[in-house]
Amino acid sequence: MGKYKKIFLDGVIFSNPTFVLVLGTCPTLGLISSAMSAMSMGLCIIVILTLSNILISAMRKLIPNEVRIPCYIVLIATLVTLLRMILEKFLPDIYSALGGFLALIVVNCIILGRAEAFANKHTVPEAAMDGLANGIGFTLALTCMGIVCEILGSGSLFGAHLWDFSIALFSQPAGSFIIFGLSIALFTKVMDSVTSASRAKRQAEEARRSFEARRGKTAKEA
Amino acid sequence: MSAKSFFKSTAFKCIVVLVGIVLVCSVFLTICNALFYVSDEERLDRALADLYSGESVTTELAPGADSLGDGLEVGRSVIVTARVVTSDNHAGDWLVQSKGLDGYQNGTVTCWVVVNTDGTSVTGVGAVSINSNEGQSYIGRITQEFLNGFSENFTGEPYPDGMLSSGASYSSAAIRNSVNGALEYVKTSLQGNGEAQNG
Repeated sequence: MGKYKKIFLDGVIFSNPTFVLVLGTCPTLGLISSAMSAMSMGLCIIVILTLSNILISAMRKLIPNEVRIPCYIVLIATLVTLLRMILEKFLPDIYSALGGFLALIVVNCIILGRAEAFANKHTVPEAAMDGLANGIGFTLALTCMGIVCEILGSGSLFGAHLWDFSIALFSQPAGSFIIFGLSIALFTKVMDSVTSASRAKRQAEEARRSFEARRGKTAKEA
Repeated sequence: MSAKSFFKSTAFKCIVVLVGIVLVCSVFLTICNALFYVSDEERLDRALADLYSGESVTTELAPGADSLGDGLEVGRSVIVTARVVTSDNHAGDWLVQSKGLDGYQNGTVTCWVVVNTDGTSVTGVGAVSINSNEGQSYIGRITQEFLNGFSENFTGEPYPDGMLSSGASYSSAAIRNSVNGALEYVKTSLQGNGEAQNG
């Protein structure tokens, strides 16, 4: 169970595809001006990433190493086409809102990256967990930045009007880029602080144990 | 290389696996396409529900629309189809499906445009609804306010080049072209009908 917990935490926090690996930047910059589009794209990525990881992991012994990338692309493109069909049929508003970015999921670095780095080396449940975790990490990152961009750029949240004040720059990719950069800086700062605190706590614990061991030894000698 | 060694080679295995995956995926997508295909009737129903806020409206092919074929180029748009509303509550409305050109990277935006008429001339734009687009990444930024602007700012003249939406200027230009094309088409059709009746 600890293995799955580690995979999940890595995907969502420690190796977050957006803030740490800086993958999938194209849809990030294109869609975070609206929280709803950002979240919709994130949910699509969760579905595609989980399914592609499962398929690729299941077929890892069948696919020869020499043609693995074309095979991955075909499998991912099939899943994306299927998702497009389903969205167009049942959720036309989301289909329209995502526009060309939906088709671009085929060449999304996160999906191909996780297939190459993880899915083709691990079992199906592990690959599924990795896909789910990375998808959730990507969705959370996009939604958080989308909320900030939409509030600043349009004065609204998930389409609901909040106030009249807005800065048009933040509804453009240039503004999204600024928010993206600041978010990475903030995330890195928080992670550094957490890591430092955790390291300091561990060192203090080791020092305490060492001190107690030495004291015990001295007492025994006495 | 003998035939036997070729069939045992990695190259052969690669070809078989790749072709196998492609074939399976193709068959799967063909089945899915049959299951999830969105027909023209379904698209029309969606557009009508959007344009008339869910009101029940019946339509029929507009006079002369059967000759549109693959589309009639009008200005910077291509008229795909045209229908007239037959239900009493919106009688006289024309529903024009028009593909606006000059979108982002020469893409297009296809819209349904409701053109209000009194039977002889155009009296306004009832509503505009986006039907589909080609390669317009920022189409999601087109607001309902922008689309409502066509009804509110109707003067009888084509909408000016400056009528754009911030953040999606190319897509909004294609929408404007689509609406201008629809208005021009209805005007020409009504004049043609009038002349035919007088003749």
